[in-house]
Amino acid sequence: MLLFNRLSIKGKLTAIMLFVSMLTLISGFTFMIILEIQSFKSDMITSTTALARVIGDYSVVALAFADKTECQRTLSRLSTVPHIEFASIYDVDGTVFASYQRLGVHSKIPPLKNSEAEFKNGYLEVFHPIIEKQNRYGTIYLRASTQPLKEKTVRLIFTMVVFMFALIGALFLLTGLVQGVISKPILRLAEITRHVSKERDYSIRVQETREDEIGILYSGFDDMLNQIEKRKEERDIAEKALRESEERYRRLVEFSPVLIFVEQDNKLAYINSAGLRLLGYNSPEELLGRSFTDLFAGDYDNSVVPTQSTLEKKFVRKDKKLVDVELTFIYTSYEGIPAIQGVALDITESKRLRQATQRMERLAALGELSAGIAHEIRNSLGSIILNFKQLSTHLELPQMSHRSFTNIELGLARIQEIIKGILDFARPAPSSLKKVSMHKVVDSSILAIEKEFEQAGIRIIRAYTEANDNVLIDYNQMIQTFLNLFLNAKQAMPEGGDLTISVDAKNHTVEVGVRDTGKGIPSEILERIFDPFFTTKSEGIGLGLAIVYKILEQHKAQIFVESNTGRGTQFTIRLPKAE
Amino acid sequence: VFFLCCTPSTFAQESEYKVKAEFIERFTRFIEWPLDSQILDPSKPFVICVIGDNPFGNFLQEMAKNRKIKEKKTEVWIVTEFSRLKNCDLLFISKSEKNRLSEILAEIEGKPILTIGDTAGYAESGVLINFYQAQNSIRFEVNATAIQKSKLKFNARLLKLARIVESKHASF
Repeated sequence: MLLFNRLSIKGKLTAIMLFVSMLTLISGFTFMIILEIQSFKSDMITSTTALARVIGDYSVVALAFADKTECQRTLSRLSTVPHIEFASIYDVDGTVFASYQRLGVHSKIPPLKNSEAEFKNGYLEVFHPIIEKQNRYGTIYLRASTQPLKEKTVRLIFTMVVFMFALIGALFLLTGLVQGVISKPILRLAEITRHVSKERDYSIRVQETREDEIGILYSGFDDMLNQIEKRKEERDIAEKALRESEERYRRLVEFSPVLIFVEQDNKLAYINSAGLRLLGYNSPEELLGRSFTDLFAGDYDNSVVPTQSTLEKKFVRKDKKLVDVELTFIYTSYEGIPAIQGVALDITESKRLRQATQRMERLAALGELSAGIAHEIRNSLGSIILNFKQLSTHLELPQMSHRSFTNIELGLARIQEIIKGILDFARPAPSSLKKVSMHKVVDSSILAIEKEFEQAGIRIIRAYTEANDNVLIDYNQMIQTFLNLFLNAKQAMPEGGDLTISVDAKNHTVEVGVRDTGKGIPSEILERIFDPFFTTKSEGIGLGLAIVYKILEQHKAQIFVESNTGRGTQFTIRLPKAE
Repeated sequence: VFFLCCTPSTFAQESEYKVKAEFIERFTRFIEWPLDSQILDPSKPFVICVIGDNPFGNFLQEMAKNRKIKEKKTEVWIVTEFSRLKNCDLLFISKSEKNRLSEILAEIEGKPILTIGDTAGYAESGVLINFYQAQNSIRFEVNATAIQKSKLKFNARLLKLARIVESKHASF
């Protein structure tokens, strides 16, 4: 059956037709042969019985009158019937009356039987009663050889087999013709199907009209191809439109300057290139699969996420720097699964600007206020000091009072100094700008503190780039700025440490870095250190960094601070380069 | 079911006349009497006549007792008068009648009577069947001329078995 399944339709048809034909032929021929043999046998029985009857009739009178000679003569005539090998006549008592044997045949006379025709041991034995007009005279026995029957049978089978093979041969040829009628159109269809599937060519058609079932198949096939082709065209158009639309949106999202992400199942499923840039990663693979909240600085409480919201957050970049973002997200579904879609806007710069503006406003207000107060106090203080000096020269005071006087004088002087500082801060002296080499300014500043720092156990490390680092500055104010910063550093390192001072000339700017290895500034106060009167030290008045800021502002310079608690602080000053 | 006769297997062992009586009955089986004779009259028996000295003893009567001939009862008459001869169906002419054989034959001429004898020369004289002895067996001869003249029809196979003789016009 396996073999049959592997055959082509053509082969199957041939096999079926041959099988059915052969089955029919073989069974028919076998049936015919059996019938024919039976007919041969029955013919032989009939003829032998007829012969027995004739001989019997001939022998009736001889038997009636006990004429053995006559009986013998009758039997001897059997020599003309070649297949009769043996014959005998019994009288009515069953005694053998006469017998005949063909030449060369030796056989015993069988015991009498009444009436029988039987094939036995290659012979047909016939016992036939000899009766005339109801008078029984005896029995005749004939034994005929079945050799002619065998020969006839062999001839018959041979003829039949030859005939059958001839028929099968003819059938084979006929099958070839008939199966062509059925299989050829189907093979044609198969060929077209192969062409369509191999070449993806749906334009081919059978284009043949037939009246039979194959014709229905053909027209159905053509209809199917028509529909496929039509749908393919429609689909191609739709696919193209979809592709274009997708491409448009993909580009829109991918090249958007804003971070766009999709988070699904608490895992980042998509992030655009702006997002990668913002977070400092090179490829999406580094981020995909991680939770988006992992990127937040500090802890993020997942349980109280609003459904749609805009939050201000800090992201931790790959290089551990923090970025301020404004995060907007919605709950939606992405590829059929619930997801979060979000947009994050980098607000580091705008936040910094806003803070700077706020600080400036604060400073301006403070400046106005303190300048007004300081001015009033200075005028009064001037006359107080003048009057106090006159008073001290005119009065003769005991020793103890003299010391009190001295203390008052020192206190007044300190007040005068503070007032002067406030006024300097509020109304700085107009600066006179000169072009100088920055590292020279720095060196001059270092020179002023070098000895003192050495005694405090602080090592000073210089890191200058050998390039043009000319800047346009007010020399004295800049010296004051650096001294302020150095002093802060010293106070941050009471146990000593390293003070690294770098001068780095860039394309259009010159950067000066002041880094200590001190205790650092806690992040919560980092924003406020430039505010006037903000101090953590018991003896300071909190104007040092405020003045630094004011001076740098007048120079259109910028100052940045980074600090790690316990590890140190770095101030960076960026000035425009002088050409 | 066949009516089987009690034909003895070997006649030689039997008495000669018992065999002959038997043969006489058998002759009737192979000979047809004309349809216009009394043979078809079921009221009349089949009459076997013996003229002259009866050599059969009781054999004929015994045979006739048990047999039907032509499907009729069989009677055996010992005839002395010629007048009765015409009623016989079969006539055995004894050896003793040799001298008046021609008279007897003349008396029944033209009648459907089967004449049988067992005397040499009877057949040539016109008796239809005549027994003779050959090699220890009983055979018979027939007069072909007489048979042709006779109204009786002889079965060819019977004739084939018989010795055929022709009439001789001997004067007894």
